[in-house]
Amino acid sequence: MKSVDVVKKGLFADNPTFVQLLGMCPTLAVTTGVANGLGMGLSATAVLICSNVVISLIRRFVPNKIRIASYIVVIAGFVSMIEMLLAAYLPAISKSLGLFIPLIVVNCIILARAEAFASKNTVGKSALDGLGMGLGFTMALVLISAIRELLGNGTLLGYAVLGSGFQPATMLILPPGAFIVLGLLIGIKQWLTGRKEAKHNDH
Amino acid sequence: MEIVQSVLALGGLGLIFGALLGIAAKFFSVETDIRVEKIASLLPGANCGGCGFAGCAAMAEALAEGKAMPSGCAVLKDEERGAILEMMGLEGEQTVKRVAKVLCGGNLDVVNEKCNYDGILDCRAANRYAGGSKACLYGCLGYGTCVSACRFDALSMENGVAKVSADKCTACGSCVAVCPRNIISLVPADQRAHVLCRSKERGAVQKEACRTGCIGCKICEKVCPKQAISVKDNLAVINYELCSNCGLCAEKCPQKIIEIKGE
Amino acid sequence: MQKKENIFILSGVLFVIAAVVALLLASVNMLTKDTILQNTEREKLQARQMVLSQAESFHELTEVYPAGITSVYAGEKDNKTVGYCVQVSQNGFGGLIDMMVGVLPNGEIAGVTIVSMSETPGLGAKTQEESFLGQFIGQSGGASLNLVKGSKASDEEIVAVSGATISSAAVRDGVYAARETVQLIKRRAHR
Repeated sequence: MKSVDVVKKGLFADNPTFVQLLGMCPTLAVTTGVANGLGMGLSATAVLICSNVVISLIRRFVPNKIRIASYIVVIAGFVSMIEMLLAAYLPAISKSLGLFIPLIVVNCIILARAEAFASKNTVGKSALDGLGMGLGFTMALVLISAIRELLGNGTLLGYAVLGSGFQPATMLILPPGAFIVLGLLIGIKQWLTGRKEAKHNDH
Repeated sequence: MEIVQSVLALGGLGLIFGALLGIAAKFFSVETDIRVEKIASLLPGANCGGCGFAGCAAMAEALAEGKAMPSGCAVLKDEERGAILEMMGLEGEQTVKRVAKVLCGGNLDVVNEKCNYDGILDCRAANRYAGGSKACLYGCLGYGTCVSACRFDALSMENGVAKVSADKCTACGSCVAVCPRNIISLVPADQRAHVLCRSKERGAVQKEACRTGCIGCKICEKVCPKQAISVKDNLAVINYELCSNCGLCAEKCPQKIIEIKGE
Repeated sequence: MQKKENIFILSGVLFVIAAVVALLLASVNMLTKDTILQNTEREKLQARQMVLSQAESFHELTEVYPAGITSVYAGEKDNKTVGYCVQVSQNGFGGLIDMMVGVLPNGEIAGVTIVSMSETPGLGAKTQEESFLGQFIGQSGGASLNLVKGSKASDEEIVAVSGATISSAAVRDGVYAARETVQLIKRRAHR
């Protein structure tokens, strides 16, 4: 498929959060604020691109039985590197993301793309796939965080947006709120996809 | 020094685990049909379920065991289909199309009802409770579970019996798997003679349940020029490989239960 | 690939991959180690200056302190001790809360700041705000610091963040620990 399509696929048609339902754990845990969601999404994107590239490079040399172990070592390596680089050169972001950075290792989007795409495609395409999926993930995180932070705390990116008279629905900041917002957004996405298909079939 | 330590530590772990995985692979190796993996790599891998199986892996297993046909996967390209048929040992059959056939003629005009069934309108459920409302315990229950299972809209209920429309059928095997009475079979598409009954009851009992079912009189067996039809357990069965579609058995059958489709 | 997957190839490849990754990580570590150390030191210094603005310089007191006390620094100005900065670690709701408390020699709280925490945003995380922490500043060495919900009856009480009693209690306990540490220092000095 064309390079542009590889990237676009991760944003909408195959969005890791709303369509593939991958990486649910960080999605639910991190989306309490837009800053967190954005930081996590961008970090995950960086790791995705790097690990996709490396795994695509070594795909012909890795025996089948140690495939999973090798991929995890590579992914953990990149996450550790990013953790150190952030702590050294972007300490503010490192502090606000805190625990979530090591959690990127177990984000199943990364292993899923490694297995489904990077292990079977060229380096260039794998990098683009990492970019598309990463951006799709980031988009999803920011959207969910925006809703939860705005309605659950009255703020966006930490700035009070809805004024002091607004009574926030605190439940949205807690775990049940995460599930509810995520579920509703998935439902909306499916509805939109269904409408698009119906329009296609009418031709 | 720190670098050497790290390399040795992590490298050592890699070495140990690699060895462990190698040992585990030997101890826990399973005798798998190598064709299954090869077939699976030819399948699209999308796990859409359109073939009726639980995913491409399940379909690959079914194909290797001959329980499904590659035509069941709507996404396959012709080369892939041919390659799979080759692996299944069915190269020649690429041109032989198969369709599903419901082997029951017990529609509501000819079959007796033994009770009123008021329950879940699913053949599998009804089959467990006294075998549904029809008096025949071998025939089509009539609640349309096969119709729902078909993803290609090839099955429909006609007067209480399921019927396959051959032009829509892809021989995926979903209806075959789901019928609790196992009366749907995958048959060659050009086969025109079929015994529309699967009842093993002897004649007298059979007639009480359904006016038209096979009574095991063996007239068809005697008239068949190819010895393609034989009666076993009070039921006539056609061997499709020997049958020449001459239609003599259908002509002579006193119950008129053998169907011979037109040209 | 139909290669013979024997044990030597498996452990060999995994060794190589792990070794290369370890090499890269060790290199990046060497590169960033010092910068990270500088960053954390700078952060701690800023925290100390914030909770004990009266001091001009700090030096560490290296005696043994009870568990939970991460570090104690004496703040000085004109060669006189003007107060102490105690770094305390308390168990909050979502993990450890790392805080810096400035205590004057008479036990009065000079300042409180949260160095790091992983409490729930919108709830426990609100304990970082001035509206909560500010209540501790100026409290005397003998103030009860009882935690109350809603509104307080006396100035010595601390109003908890609504919906975050555990986090609020953890911060309050940290302040207690800091106060007790300064008392310990004074008792040792009088021995």
